[in-house]
Amino acid sequence: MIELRSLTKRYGSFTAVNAVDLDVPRGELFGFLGPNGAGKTTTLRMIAGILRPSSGSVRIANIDLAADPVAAKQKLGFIPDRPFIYEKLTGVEFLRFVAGLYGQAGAEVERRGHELLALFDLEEWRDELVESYSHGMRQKLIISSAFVHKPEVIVVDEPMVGLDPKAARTLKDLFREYTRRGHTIMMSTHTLEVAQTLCDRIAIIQRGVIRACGTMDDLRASAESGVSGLEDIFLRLTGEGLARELVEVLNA
Amino acid sequence: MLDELRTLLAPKWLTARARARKKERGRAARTAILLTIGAIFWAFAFGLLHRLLAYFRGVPEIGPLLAGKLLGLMLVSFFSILLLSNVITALSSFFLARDLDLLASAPVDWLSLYTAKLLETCLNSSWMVVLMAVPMMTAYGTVYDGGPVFIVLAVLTFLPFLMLPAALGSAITLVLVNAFPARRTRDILSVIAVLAAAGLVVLFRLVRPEKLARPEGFRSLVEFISILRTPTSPLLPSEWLSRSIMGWLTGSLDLLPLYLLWSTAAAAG
Repeated sequence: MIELRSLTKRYGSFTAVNAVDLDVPRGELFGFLGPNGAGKTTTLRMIAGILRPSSGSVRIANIDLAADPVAAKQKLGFIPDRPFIYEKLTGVEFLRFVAGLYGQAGAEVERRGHELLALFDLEEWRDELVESYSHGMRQKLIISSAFVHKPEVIVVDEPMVGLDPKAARTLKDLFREYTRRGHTIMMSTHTLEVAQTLCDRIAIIQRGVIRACGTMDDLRASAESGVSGLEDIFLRLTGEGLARELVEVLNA
Repeated sequence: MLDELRTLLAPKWLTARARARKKERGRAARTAILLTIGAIFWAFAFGLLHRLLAYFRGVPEIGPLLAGKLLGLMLVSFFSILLLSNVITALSSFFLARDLDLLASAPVDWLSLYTAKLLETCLNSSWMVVLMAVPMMTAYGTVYDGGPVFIVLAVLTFLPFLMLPAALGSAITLVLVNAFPARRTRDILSVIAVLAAAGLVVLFRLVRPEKLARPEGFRSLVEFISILRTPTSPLLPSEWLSRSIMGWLTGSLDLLPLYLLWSTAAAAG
């Protein structure tokens, strides 16, 4: 469903994403991990069509994003790490607006909107202006908006930020059920526990390059002996020496 | 495309509606004060222009020419204000708007997105000029007995006159943002301000208003009248608008300036 071929993004002489090749098949929940500044968000923003790649290609549901961006984006729902919602719209107006961007309107959108708002305990806030929402409520609304048009693929950047435990659990269940029904989700996260328990496969990116990709067993094999949890694997692959450097800095 | 445009612009009017409905303490008083100040400004501008135009109308031969020159002068000022305002507003709506990621990730045709942002830019930067133009055009319409058709003509000529600086301003901003890094917005704005000031000086020099105030500087009345008859800046949209309006008001309507306005606005948009 998501195919990245030699995907590269350069800013002047700095290469943020370097020739990334990735395939995320239908029905998979794919995790995208990496330290800060590794290139996760840049990759996701290229998949969402917000950034134009310097080279390489993105295909969503077999549609080339560069050749037919409207058709490719029609299959996609994107939840950014720093989402924007119009402050003077009510929750339900925002959902209607997003559905409208995808060419959907009418009773079906209203029904789905109500269901999603109820799922995230926002039903009683549906007619309140977004400016009165808390950070967590905004996050729930933006997640609801990504599901309102029933996309085949959802790309989500840091989905758990700002969510209370109940909403986080709801979102995990929603992700699992959504992929079980044949949809695809690609998410970046810093919460390794979430990635380990939720994702079918995980890719670890560092300095714009995929360091490892596969199931937990594949990653354990990549990290060689002596590691079991994703945190150990992550640290081994992305910077084992950091803890030692920290001690040296504190001693200096 | 129209459906997409309606959807893209929906948050703007929903926001305006929410603001209008918001109940705030002292809001009625604030609105009343604002409306009173607006009415006083309109009455003052209308009264002043009406008196001046009534005097011009009483002057045979050169009266309508002077009225036309005055209109051209005001419209050149409007055009330069609109251009500067559009350049700055386009920076916000095309490059710094917080909804860009949301809209860019949606399956919306780029032309619809561009048009929606252009309309947003045009509306946000032009409303004040439109408010200033109302008493001005009303004075011209009443003094020269423009009739109901004059209102239609004024709207028809002002629409492309507002769209042109919006398209031009957006294009200038696009070039500037490509020349400077996006983070150096302040630098860009400084350049814009300097260019605008220079542009204003150039525009006023093109119009040469001081020559009109000194008819004795001309060798003969014939030369003075011929100067008044000559378009001062025939390539500027303000001149086309002025010629359309004065053509109708003096009974010699020429459709060419109207065509120029609309065709240039369509091409620029």
